[in-house]
Amino acid sequence: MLQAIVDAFALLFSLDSEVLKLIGTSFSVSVRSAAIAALIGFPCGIWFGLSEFRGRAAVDVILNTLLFLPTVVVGHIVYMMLTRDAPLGDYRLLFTRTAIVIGQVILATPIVLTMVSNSVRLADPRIVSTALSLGAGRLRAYLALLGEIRGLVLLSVLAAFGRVISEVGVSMMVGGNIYGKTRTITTGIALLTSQGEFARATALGMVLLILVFAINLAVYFATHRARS
Amino acid sequence: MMALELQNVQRAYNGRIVLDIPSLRIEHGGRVALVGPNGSGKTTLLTIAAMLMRPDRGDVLVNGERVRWRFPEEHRPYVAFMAQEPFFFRGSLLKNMSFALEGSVLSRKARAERIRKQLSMLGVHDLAGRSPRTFSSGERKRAAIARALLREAPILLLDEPFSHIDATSAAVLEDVIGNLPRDRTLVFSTHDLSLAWRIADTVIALQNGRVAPCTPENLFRMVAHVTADGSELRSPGGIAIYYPERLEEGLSYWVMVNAREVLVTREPIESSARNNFRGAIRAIERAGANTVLLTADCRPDLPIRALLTERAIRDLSLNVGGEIWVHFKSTAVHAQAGM
Repeated sequence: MLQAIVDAFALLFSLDSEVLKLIGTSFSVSVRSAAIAALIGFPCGIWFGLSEFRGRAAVDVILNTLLFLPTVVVGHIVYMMLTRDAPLGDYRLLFTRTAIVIGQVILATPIVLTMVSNSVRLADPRIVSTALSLGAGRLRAYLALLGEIRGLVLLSVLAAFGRVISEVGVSMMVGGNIYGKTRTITTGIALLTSQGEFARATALGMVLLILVFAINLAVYFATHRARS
Repeated sequence: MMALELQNVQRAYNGRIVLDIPSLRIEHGGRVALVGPNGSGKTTLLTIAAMLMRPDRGDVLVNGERVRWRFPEEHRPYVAFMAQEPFFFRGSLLKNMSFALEGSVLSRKARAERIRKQLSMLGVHDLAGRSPRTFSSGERKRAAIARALLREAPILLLDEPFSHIDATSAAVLEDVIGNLPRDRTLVFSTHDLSLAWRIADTVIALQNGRVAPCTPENLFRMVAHVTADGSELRSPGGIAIYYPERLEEGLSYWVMVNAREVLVTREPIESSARNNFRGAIRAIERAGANTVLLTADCRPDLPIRALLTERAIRDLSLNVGGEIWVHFKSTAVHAQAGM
């Protein structure tokens, strides 16, 4: 294990081109997925957090279920949508980074939406009314609301990012694990493990952990500074 | 054209009607105080008038135009509102003030000057760099009013601006609110009746979500006993007020006596008034340019207030502690059940 940690640091700091490529692909798709999930999840989360309607409990249950979507199921569904004879087959997206992003957005959006709507529900109800009474339009009032709960909002994006950067089902099934194109850190680990290269796979796993830890640390300091 | 108008406005919470206003019209430049006990509907009325809450039925008209509840932002620029417990965004007071001027056509310099002027007027200029969340209650209220005044909206709605504040803040606020330019309409809620009379031209009393027949200087909970020619409303201590109509025997009523219809004399007199009580003057408070609110403790448990001119106080040589008689006709008494 110790050797794996040493190897991980060595891999990370040796700027090994193969490792850098995997990191680049992982970040490229996961950052895009989390960003798109945020774009969908923020407005929907605010709307859902502020709305009262009949059947809300049912929607809550469905959303909570979506939080636990198995990645292979999503991968399977997206595969069926993108395969050549499928409705979206003409776009030839299967085994591309875009395909991975589509699958990861399906995984990430419920996380952002649920966390934002819960934060909105727990937030001070006077935020929006104060903004409106000070002449803000609805959009600016909602932005003010997001600003007041920005720590939790950032956390939701981070949680979504954590979910997608560590998933393997979608990336493997609709990405195809093509070296240099769609191979991510996680599919790389899967491949190395299947090839019996356990030390390198473990080291790659440690690289992933270190990167995620570094991002968490950065977010912690950013939110801590904002709070103080 | 009225600045603000409520027509058949009704709002319910959990099936209970908390506001029911058939008609309320407030003129441009009007100074209106809303008074009434907690839960009487003051906050609901102000929140609906500020277009922050939609009534279940009825209409709100701002400057004569009906508010379309799908697009209340059409009329919001005309109205500034301060909540009873004002909320402040994260960051300094200056940042909070700037929020109110975002999107304004003013230059950056003009905005800074207007903010400085408002903060100075409310005496919170020195606190501009601090977060309002660290302020005392009085400082928060002053800062919130400075923020509400900033946009110079023609209609100003203030919910309990004088509650939970120290004497210094109260004096500053009374001075600022009392001297608002006459081109601005003011509606505020308060529990302090003498303050309401000092600032407002019109005092509207709310009781159980409805406009009460008179202001609640004299508001009592009493039990009705039917008599040959009407009813007697008795206080727990046994004082009886005569009421000209037959009420329901044994039922508890809210009883109101209009302070403007209470007559004060130094000696007992013979008159048509059926309600005559002897009492001692507890307080004489200023309640307007030339009027005062006199409170007399009528034994054993009925504090009765009368709205008098300062001249009447001088002519009768009335002082705190002095013995007086208070009189009012039974037709000046209003009784409401079911509250």
